[in-house]
Amino acid sequence: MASPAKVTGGGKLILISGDGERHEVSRETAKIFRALETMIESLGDKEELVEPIPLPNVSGSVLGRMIAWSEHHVTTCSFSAEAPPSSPINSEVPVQPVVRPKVPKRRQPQFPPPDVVPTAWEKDFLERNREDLYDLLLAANYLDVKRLMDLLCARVADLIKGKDPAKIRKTFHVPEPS
Amino acid sequence: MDTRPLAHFSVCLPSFTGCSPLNLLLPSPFITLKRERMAQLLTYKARRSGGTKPVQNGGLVGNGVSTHLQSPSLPGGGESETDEPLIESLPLDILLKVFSFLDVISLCRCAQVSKKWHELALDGSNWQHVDFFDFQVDIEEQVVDRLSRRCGGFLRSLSLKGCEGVEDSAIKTFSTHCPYIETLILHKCYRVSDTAVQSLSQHCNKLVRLDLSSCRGISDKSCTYLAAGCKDLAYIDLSYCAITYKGVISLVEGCGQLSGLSLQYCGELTDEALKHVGSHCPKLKRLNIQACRRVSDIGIEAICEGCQLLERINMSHIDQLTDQSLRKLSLCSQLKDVEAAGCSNFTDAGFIALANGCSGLTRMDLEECILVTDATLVKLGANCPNLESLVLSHCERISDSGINQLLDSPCGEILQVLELDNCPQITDNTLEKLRTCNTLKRVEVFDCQLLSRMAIQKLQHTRPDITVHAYFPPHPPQAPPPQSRRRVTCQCCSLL
Repeated sequence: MASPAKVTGGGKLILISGDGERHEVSRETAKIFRALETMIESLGDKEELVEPIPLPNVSGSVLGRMIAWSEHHVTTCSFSAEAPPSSPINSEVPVQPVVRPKVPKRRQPQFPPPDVVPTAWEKDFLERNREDLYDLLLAANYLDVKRLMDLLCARVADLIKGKDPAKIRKTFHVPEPS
Repeated sequence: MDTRPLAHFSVCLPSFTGCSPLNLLLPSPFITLKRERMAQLLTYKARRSGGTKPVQNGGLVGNGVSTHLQSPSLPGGGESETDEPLIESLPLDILLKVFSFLDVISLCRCAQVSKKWHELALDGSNWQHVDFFDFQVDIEEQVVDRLSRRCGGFLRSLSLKGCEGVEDSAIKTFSTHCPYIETLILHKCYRVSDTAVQSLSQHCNKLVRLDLSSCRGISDKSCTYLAAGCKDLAYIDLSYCAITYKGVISLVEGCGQLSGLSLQYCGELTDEALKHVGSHCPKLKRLNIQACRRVSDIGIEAICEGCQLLERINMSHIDQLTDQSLRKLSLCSQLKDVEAAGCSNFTDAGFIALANGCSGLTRMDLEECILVTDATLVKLGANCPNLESLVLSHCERISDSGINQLLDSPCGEILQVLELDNCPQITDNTLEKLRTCNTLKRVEVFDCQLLSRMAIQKLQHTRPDITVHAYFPPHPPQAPPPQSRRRVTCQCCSLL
């Protein structure tokens, strides 16, 4: 990942994936996973959480990528030059890139209503993980990472757009209705 | 609430005959028919060559399950025929979320993919905002009918702009099924009449924005219905309808929340009606009474006294208005946008008063205010530093000196549009001056007789970012225009 998060404050947490991989993350990083947020906050000032947190629904490799995502979003400094650090740290808030991707000059689509435009880093993240969109979708849903959810869903939607039903079936391997 | 005008679909329909998106909104037998035909047309059988490793038990997420999202030629993985495509194994809420990012056309295509997709794609939650403008010709009674049944309470905004086939009965069904509609555009639905509005007012009490412009069947009765049922109405467009002052009076008495009111070409609109608008609509920000020729200074005065928040007013082509109106308007300190085209009695005195009171003006249309001179420009420059767009076409008394002083003022650093069509006193000096205005994007100089082709070319060459619209006689004495210009078929040369 671009740069490992150096976050001050809060102890470390151990996350255990479904296949038994151990991942050590800072509390701030783990808070990006909204599903863990309440639990982490309830820990209060305790330095270390001895008990590891099991995440049986997430595999090790996916968890690693999810952590990469949250580490990126928890640190402003790791935002690339294209996306200035003014972007909100919190992953819930849609990050507005300064330079918008070029939209064709045709009529502007009204929908999707939320403006889900990935930053350069996020685009790269999605590109790197294009083989695992499903796993990430499930993991993002399970861990409740809204922005990642939005981006992934928009990405899948992009694969649908502009295709006729037959092509959609082909893309998603849906058998033809009998 | 989204007050922007509805945009249009972004995806173009390929030449695929079997999937007109509207089929899905037609009765089911129709869909089946189309689907069969499609199956004949496309004898494609989905390849399933993508690697599908078995999903690890115990977890929702399989380790390293490769996706089917990409091309089927993914490497690795043995053939493993599962009963269900991977995408359909996603939880319903995730799938619905994916669908929520699709436009109407894509949704309709998805609905033809399989039974499950049909269900998901036509789920009402995906159909909150619908714009049928692109299919206006095809929209018939039953389409609206079916759409409203599908969407039910989910539908928030619907545009039937230009759908001439829509009749009262469709709107009636619609209003019973979609009580939560907030924005409804019925522009040019010629067959819609008071009966439809009656039904809307009975069932759709959340209506905020209603566009009935050019619906010829709409009369004062509609206003009475709306006043009774749609108290939250914030924007209504009744332009070109058969509305009289009586209708407007009853409307504003019921709908005190109005912030936008458009009544263009409602010839029967009187000062009396505007008095009621003034006294009942303190939140009014936008008023369009273009060509309501019976309105006089008294009506404008009433508006100005009652609607202190007024930001935009269009009083073009009401030729009996005088400077008195402008003086009154100067009391509306929020005023940003004034259109007064063809108000030929307006003079410098009035505009100077207006500029004194409304320093926030950003857009002014003074076309054919023939009495306006450079004095107005000087005052605008001095008092209105936010002026972005100024139309002075047919203001024959405007000269170089006025434009010069305007551009030397703070306006010169913000002005984007300047229209000077048919200003006979404007010379090449103005064009020279315009070159120095960095923010300028568009200049119109049709029929400015003193301008030379050379000067216009120079402006275009030195400032390619400005769009210049100019006119030259059919046989120009100068050398033929450069290659790029020959493509333009009309006689106006429009260079980027």
